[in-house]
Amino acid sequence: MTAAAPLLALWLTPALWLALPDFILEDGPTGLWITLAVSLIPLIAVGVGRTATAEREAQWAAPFAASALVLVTGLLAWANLALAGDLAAGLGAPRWQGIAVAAGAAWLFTTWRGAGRIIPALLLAGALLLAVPSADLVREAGVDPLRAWDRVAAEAAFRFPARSAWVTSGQDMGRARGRTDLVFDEEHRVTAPSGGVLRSRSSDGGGVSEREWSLAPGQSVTFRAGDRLLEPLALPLRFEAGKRVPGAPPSGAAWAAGGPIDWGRAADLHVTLVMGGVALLCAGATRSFPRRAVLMLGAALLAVSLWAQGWAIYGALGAPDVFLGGVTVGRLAEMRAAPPARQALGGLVLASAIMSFAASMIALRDRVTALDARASGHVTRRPLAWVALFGAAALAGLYGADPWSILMLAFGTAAASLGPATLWPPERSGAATAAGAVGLALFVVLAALGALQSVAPEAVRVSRPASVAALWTAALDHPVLAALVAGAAVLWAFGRPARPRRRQVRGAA
Amino acid sequence: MGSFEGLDLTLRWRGRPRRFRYNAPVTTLGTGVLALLALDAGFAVVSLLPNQVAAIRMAGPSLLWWYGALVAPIAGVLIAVAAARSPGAPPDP
Repeated sequence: MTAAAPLLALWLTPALWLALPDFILEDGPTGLWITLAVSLIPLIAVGVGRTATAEREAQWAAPFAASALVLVTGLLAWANLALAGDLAAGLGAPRWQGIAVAAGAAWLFTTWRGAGRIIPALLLAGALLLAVPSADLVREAGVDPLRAWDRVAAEAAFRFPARSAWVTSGQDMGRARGRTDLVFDEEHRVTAPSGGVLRSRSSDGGGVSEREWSLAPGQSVTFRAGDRLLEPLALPLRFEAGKRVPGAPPSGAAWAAGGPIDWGRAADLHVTLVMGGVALLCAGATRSFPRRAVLMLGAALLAVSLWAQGWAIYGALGAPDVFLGGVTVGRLAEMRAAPPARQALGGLVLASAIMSFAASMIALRDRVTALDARASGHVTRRPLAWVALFGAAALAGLYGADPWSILMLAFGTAAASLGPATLWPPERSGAATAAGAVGLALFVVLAALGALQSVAPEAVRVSRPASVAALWTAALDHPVLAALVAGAAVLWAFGRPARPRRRQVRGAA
Repeated sequence: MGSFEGLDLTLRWRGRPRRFRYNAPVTTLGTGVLALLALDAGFAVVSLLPNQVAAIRMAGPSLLWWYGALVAPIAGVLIAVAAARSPGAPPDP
């Protein structure tokens, strides 16, 4: 376990492992595919890492690799602190409290020189903390995992349980998605316990009409099937027991079968995950893993995959209101339908996530320090730099960004800057630096233009010639792929890939 | 697969007499990584099988869920362990 723990900690950052049940709930089989990729990537990285050559070590000695890893570390810290804020908000606490506790714990551990030794203990403690609410979910459902899956897949519809907090007392819509419209599948009376303004859009005889209600505390509005409740931002609402949850899949069978796969999005996601993950996990690592360590690593990854599936399935069974407005990572800790068990469960998940985050940051600090030492020739510890990193990430985390999007930005950065040279190590470290710099610059530009495209499509549109327009659209849609191709081209042009050293033949002349 | 480790299996000319020797740097490394990537891609392949084979239920879950939840992850661990360095093997170059 000791040899596998740093790699496990590095990979299983909370923003990643807590998102897995989210994907399984949201997309069924497509989410399971992402979970499968997450459980295979560290094993792929171990395989790629075994090709460590002297040329690759020289590449990792380049200051660019250390700088790129610091950038990725900052983005990973941002994603995880944003998640800590979401989890705290889910427990009814202010976002900044969750962020401050997580950032403080991670900073304390990273300033402790010998913290690398306690990574296995942190992972174990996090797993034990998570085991308690997981066992509670299984106990509450009272069925084994296979039967639980069968029951979820057999649900005619996902309906609000009578004891749900969304039914009994009402909840703040900011705790659901908040910025997504709710579409009703059947007639549904919605009550505003503390009043507020509701806006809806409905189709009447071919026309679309919008209405607005100013409700006094306790007043209700009845929506019909197909009506859309627009942007219920941070407004407490109460729903009817036994009615379909808006945003949930039509039925359990539809969830189990999954929708049609968006192949372009799936390819982009898998390339980003695989290339980013392999680049991150191989960064600065030259030690090969013995079989026992690989077995431990694989067993732990399998356990995480099974946990994610179990959490999603038992959650859908016990608290189908988790689907309300679309599943978000911050609300996955609310799998128990009724308080106070919901609060206790959420608290344990938050504590487990903080343990995992601390372990992840320690592992990253050790990698950054090792790369820095190889580049400069001596070990330099920079506690103030880590304060600045966590401080900036915490400030950014206060803004309620989606942790998964930030995580993908981190993996995209790792893939673009370190990916090509990880897979095809050149003989000269200068070529690796050039490839990484070109890939990173292209990724940043394309990602920024892609973000601009979502708000002002005309500003970045290229309409002719048709071939350039198609290429431009593909590059904006898949910035990681474009950056990888550019990086590989630079490697090909400036640095011949290092030939693997021949192994000595046992007994051969 | 681990039993091939360390073998040099390149096809190359020797001196006289002119004959082939199978002696290349083929290791389990590349094969293991490719097999793991194939396991990931296998999920898409299973989901595209004709006649909705992926939806066939076996002891509860569908074939696709069995593949993604247990078969592929366990196969991945076995492949990675087989491709890893055995305790007595010389260190990687």
